[in-house]
Amino acid sequence: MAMLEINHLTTEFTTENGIVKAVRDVSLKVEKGEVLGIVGESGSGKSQTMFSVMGLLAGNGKVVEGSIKLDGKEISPLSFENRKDYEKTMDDIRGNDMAMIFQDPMTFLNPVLKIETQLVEPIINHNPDISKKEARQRALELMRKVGIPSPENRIDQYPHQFSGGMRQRIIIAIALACNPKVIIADEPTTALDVTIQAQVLDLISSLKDTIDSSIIMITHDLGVVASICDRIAIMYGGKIVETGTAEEIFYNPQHPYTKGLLQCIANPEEERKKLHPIPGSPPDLLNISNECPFVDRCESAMKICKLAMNDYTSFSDTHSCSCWLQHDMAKGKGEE
Amino acid sequence: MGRYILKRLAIGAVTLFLLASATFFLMKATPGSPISAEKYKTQAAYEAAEKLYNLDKPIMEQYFLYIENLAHGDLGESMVKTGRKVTDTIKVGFPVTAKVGTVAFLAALIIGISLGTAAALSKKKWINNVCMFVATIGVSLPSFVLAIFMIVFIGVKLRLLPFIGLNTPANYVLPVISLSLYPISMICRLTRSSILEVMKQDYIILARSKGTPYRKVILKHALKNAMLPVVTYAGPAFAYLLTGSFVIENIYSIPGIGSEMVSALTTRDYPMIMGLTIFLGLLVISFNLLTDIISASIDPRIKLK
Repeated sequence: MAMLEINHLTTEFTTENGIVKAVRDVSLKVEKGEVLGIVGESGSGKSQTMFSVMGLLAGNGKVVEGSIKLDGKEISPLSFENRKDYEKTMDDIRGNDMAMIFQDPMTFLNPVLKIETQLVEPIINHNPDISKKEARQRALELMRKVGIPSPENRIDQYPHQFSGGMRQRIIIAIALACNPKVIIADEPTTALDVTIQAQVLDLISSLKDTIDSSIIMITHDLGVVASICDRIAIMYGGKIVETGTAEEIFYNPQHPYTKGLLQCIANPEEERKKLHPIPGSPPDLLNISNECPFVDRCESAMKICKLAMNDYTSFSDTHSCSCWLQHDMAKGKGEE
Repeated sequence: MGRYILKRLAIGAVTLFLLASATFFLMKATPGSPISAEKYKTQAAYEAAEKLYNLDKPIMEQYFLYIENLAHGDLGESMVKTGRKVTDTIKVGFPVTAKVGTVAFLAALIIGISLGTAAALSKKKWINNVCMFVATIGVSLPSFVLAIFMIVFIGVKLRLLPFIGLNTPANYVLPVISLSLYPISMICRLTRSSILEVMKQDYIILARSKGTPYRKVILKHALKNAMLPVVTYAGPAFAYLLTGSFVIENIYSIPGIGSEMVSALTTRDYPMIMGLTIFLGLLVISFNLLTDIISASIDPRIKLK
């Protein structure tokens, strides 16, 4: 059974200009111990999908459809009678069964609380009987685990006394605190310097071997995905357009958007060749219709793409894609 | 930290000296004299009084004389109420003012922060509207208008509460309301806007992702951050409440240093004006220092240098 299973999840935001459909009919599965990468550009709904799962959507956001199952247990807000029950259940799950690593280490730690206070918080939340001393010991262990030198001195410091990379390690330690079943990493390297990015990525990939959590890695960097993910889901315009194992996505991409993304990776080993950016910009998710979100930027767009999206076509047990080019009547089109 | 406090105290002493000098010369530049012709009827008596209080000497000499006494901690005697020491007036008057002021300050803090928090976080819109309405009235309504209004309606017409002096706890109600309405409104507005700002911060999301219940997130993560602007306002505000409101003390016949100051001013009682001004200045300077120390203890990023 999948550790986390999302089916037909749809999330909307009410704004002054109308309803923004940030996540549209998204279905995903993560097995135990598996690393899933969700790739997409800014505004593709990849973060909002995971905020929906964690129940951390902004005040104007709402899950309007779909089911979310964590280890077989339904946790979609729609399955609860009222908000209070949902929040109570989620407070037990957040930080315990499911934890999140965030994007910007400079803003996600509370500037006025000591590292110890912030690090023992999830431990105390989910082990109410633990003694202060024991919680501190566990916090120190976590700091060692994420590679913070001399944790005994640093645990009593404040976030502003840490560098960006060290703060990100603290945020990772907070996520690891209760050995969660699922860890969601929301662009954990985006806000870091390149050298620090590599260190943090190394840390995450080494952790992945020592813990048995499933990891969902949200990123817009295919290089990051290639190095640590087992499976990849490509998201565009609030939809998942293609999923597959890392190999299937990199060597046998099917969706024109996936192909476009792969053409944007610079490869230092190859001779200097021009990168091919995808022309145009992502769709406006305000009152978007049923059309394929990629239609305006797609080189092989057909009339039908404006009307609806195709169902998912499977190429293997793990590889599927939603594109009209896969339809029998369109075979041969779009090939170069 | 210790060095910082010493430095601030030194600056405070200089400030006090400048305040004393400026007050001295401004006071002398105003027409009138504490030696009134009504009290000292004959010319001889008048001149004798001037001589007694050194008022016949040149101004600069009077100034140096005063500063010299001040350096010894001697604030002098009243020139109007014969034999009354300035320090005694402070000793008698300040505790009265401080009692009313402290009650008003605590009321302002508790009510202001609660109303501001409720306005910021309540899901019910009307709570926010009511709080903001009260706060706007409180900021714009002069305290003496409210004080007189309450005396007329609550004190005289309805006879619900006493309004002269401070003999019973019930006597505190009206002056405390008059004194605290403005700081309540200010603290309410500051707390509300500051909490709304803090709740949008990323670290609130991280705190929630640890499974910390919403209520605890507010108490532990939001309030401490949100209190900084409130502390910055509340410190000096407390000093002003402790120095007593000249108007409110007069309206409610409270024998505090505020009303002493008013009578000293009207009778040109030089040593009394000087002494009270220096005392009030000392209070304001100390509370500013206290505010900075509290701010630094809340936010570790503030360095006291």
